[in-house]
Amino acid sequence: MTGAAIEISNLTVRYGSVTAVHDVTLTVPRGSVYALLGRNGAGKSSLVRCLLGQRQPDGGSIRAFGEDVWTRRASLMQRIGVVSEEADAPPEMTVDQIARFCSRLYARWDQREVDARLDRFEVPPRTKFGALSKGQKKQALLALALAISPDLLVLDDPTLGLDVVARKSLFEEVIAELADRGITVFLTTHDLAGIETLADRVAIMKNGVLVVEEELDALKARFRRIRFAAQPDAVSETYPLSLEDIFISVTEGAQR
Amino acid sequence: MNNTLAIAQREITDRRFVFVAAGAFLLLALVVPFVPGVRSGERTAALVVGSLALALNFTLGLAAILGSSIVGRELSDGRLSFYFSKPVAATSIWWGKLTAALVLIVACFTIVALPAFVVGSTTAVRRWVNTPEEMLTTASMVIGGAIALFLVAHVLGTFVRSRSVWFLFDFVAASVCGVAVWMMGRILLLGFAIELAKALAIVVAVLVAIAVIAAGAWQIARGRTDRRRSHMELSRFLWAAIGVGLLVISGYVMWVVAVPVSQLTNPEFLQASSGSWSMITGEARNRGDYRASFLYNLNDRRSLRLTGVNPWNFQFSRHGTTSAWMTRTGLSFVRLDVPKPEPTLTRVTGGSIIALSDDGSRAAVSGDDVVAVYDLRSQASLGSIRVAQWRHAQFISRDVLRVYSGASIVEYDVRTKTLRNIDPSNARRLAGTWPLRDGRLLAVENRETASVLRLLKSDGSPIREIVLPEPRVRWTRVTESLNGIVSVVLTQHTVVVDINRGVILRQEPRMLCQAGSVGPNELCLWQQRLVIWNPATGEKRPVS
Repeated sequence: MTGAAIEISNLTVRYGSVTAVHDVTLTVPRGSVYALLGRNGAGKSSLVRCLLGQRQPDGGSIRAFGEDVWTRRASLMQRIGVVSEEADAPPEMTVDQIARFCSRLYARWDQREVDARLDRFEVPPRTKFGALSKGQKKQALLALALAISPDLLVLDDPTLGLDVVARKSLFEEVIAELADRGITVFLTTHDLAGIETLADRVAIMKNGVLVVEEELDALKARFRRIRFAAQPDAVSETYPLSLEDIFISVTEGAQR
Repeated sequence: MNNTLAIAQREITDRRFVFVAAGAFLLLALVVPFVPGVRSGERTAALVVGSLALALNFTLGLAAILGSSIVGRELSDGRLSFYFSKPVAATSIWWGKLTAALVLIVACFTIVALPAFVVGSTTAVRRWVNTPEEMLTTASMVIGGAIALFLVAHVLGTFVRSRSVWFLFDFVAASVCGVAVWMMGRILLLGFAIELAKALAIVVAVLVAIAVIAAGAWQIARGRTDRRRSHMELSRFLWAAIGVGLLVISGYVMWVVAVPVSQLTNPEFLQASSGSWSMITGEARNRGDYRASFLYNLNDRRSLRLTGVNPWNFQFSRHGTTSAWMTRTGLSFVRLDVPKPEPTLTRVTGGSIIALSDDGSRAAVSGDDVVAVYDLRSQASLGSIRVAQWRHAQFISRDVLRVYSGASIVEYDVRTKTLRNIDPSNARRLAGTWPLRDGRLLAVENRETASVLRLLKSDGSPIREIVLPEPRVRWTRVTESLNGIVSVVLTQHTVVVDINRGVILRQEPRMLCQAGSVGPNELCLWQQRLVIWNPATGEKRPVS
């Protein structure tokens, strides 16, 4: 497969007089793990809603696999698995019932994979979705999203509310596995440590503006800390910052 | 289609608890006949009434709750994204939700109303469920009302939950549409177009229902998970659709109201006994039962469109200088001896106008056994009398009103405020006569061999008789001109009679004229067409 999985051009989203996303342009290559970072209110969720065709941009365009996501949303969703920030599944339905409902909508559906994953996550399939813990809800939604063998997986803050074990499981076992299989992963997260070893490319949003967008390695190479020598005749050296340090640096101060 | 059904099924599953509630209401209905106070002979009727009442309340309540929550609540709770992250079209989401709501409404009504439908045929309870047709009608009405309520609740639910400033736009748009509907209804009802108004009300209701359903689909397709944008799209589509629909309907109403006088079919008309003005009213093809009314000048063919005029509540003054009529909004009059006659609406209200003075300055208005005299220019009451069952009235002078009631004739002088009884012994004999301006009376009488026109003195004693050309007259109208000439409209002829000389001046077979003014023109119905007839020459010209 060649070309970009996602192409966002000059995206602008407004809520009345407030501009949530301003002129954002980015490209997500196929098979990559793309992490979109930003503080609360930076515009990540607005961008994801536009990416999923749930909101029409006020300016610019978003294409997934070469197709406009606003006009071709229904057909594109056959190829896109989604774990939303808010656990939006019907609370009165059990996970089993939700899975059965979803199976009627998709051309590709692997129920055995759903069952296996729910079992691995230890999510009870006959419990009402509303009665699950926050972490279990995310895991259940992830299991459902992966049942279609998606070409693109969109994870909107997937680790929010997950405990350490579940977080580790999600990042290391799932995302890494998906990335290995060539599935494009687009995620927004606050869990910077978790994605540091996974993400190929990182973007950071601040007040609706994309302030950083490049390969993670290149970003790390650009952001280095100088360690001054203790002795006057000794040589000072530099070492790379963690993604968390870079994030704090970018979102709280001026870009270096 | 498959996705629509899948969503409908999911929505029903999600709300399956309403079936349990419907079952509980069913049990409640079954308990009603055994409530203390219900006699054993009334138990079936109590079951039917209880079941229907509970079904009505449950169904309407369910419709309101479903309407306000099925989209609006999911939007505000941020749960509509569940569907939008799936490969389903927005229309499937809307139709699926709509289908589910309809199924829930119909199913729950059927469950709760089941006892009424099962035992309804065995009891007579206001003819609601005695026959299958009545059951169908009752069910249609309740379910139709519930669907209407569901749609209204959906719109209001979206509006209220969005907490958007678009609510102000909605308020203005709803007000404008409401005023437009009210104005259209008013203008039609003023033209007595009750059936047309009913038909258009149904058209408007269907239009609004279709607009809400289509707007819902548009709202989901364009607004998706954004509750404010959802509100905006719903508002834009809904008010645009209703606005366009109302524009088309108002265009039709304007066309109906703008009917020209020449297109009236089976018109009724009145002609002033002097002068050239007449009042024409009638319906027209493709315009329902709307009755257009005109003041029409027979000489120069000027016309003045009137609203809300009932020909039975309309008077010309004897001199032909004024006409007046009573509508629901009040008494109106128009001076006809001016270059541009303009109607004037007065503050005078009442049942009907029964007489105008010769010069048109005063009007007698009746209502609730009271006849009052008003001065039209000042709109002041000059006095009133209590008269039971008045039959006819006329001003015999500017100040004196003569009123013919069922049992007597009285004359009321508004200047002295005195009431004078005319010889009551003649009252019975005078019943069925037509009073002339000078106090003499005219009567048409059928005899074995011929019908005659009898001229009587005011006390009923005979002056002369004139034999009419029809042997049996079923319908007569007599109008007096200023110079002792009367038109007598018979069943098949209009004859012009000189009552002082006792001769028939002219007769026109198969022509019905109304007026008594002999020349130069009379308004007549001839071969189902309105024509302007010149009695002197016999010339007939179509009204245009």
